Amino acid sequence: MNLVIIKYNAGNIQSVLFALERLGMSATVTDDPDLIRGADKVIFPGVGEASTAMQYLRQNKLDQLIPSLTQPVLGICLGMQLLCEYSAENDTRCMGIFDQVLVTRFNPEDRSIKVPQIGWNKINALQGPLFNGIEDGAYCYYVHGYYAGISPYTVASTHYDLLYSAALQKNNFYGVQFHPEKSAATGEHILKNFLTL
Amino acid sequence: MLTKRIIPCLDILDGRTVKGTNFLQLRDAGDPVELAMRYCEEGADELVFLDITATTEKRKTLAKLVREIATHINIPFTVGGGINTVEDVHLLLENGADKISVNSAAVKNPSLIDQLSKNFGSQCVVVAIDIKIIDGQWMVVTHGVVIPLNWKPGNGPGK
Repeated sequence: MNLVIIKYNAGNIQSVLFALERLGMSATVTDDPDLIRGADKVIFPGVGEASTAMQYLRQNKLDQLIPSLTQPVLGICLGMQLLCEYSAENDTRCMGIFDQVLVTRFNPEDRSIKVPQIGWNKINALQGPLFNGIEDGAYCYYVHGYYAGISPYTVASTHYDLLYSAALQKNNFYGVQFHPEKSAATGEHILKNFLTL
Repeated sequence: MLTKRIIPCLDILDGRTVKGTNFLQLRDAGDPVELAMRYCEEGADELVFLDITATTEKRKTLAKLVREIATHINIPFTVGGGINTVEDVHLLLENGADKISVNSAAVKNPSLIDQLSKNFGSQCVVVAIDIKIIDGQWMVVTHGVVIPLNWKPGNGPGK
């Protein structure tokens, strides 16, 4: 299988590569439009800041390429948020694949709820092929200060201060807010589900 | 809601895991990568690796070990020990550490915490503080429990 990881100015690509290696897979890390278009599957990772990431994608015309892809695409963390309509992180218009889904900063009244959320939290109300064989209430690893609200595209939810989208899906586009590459056996299972779509 | 985390901490000396009593009488406890994998299988939520030799010459060896750990485990891990600069942190994160932990350097120079969080994000910066009862009072100590500071928890430096 020809697997491509989209290269852009956001960290975390290395840990995704390591996770794929553990599953016996190798991937090409590239921002070349032809290689991305020709891939069987595309992973769009990212830990970073929304506006600088979108700026880089625009400069490289990836903001037009990504929505036109027809093979399975998996956005992880910031990658997922950039597939939404808009992020409040520095007032950033995103790619709008998950149309009308807004990304907002956690703003808990309860000061004991820390932002960013860092740690293991449950995923619930699981739907779709990404979660085949995953138990409701399984734990995944999160590091994020911004979240996507609940929408018609929500295929998993998590509660942290409020209920939000742990995962989104629209046609061939999948997005997860947690880090499957750091979520032990559950995360590996979810990655495997994506790779066997 | 977030769950409680169980985080085994491994002390590393010259690339091997060591076990001591109050930082003394160190004995070899095995290969860090093998141990890390075992802790993962047993359900650890995260891991911490503290390089207790951490001299400048050894830094590259640590980075290599970090890379080896990152390829083998599927949970987040933190690396600490002798971190003084933004460059030190860059090298460890680049090799696959999820977070870094600063101790002595942060006590000596608290602005390092700001610098690191600005460069890499607050989500990957951990501050560890060692404390010890000296003359019946909890005191902050640095450099592997050697130099007591005139600084009590909750009291601020020098107060």
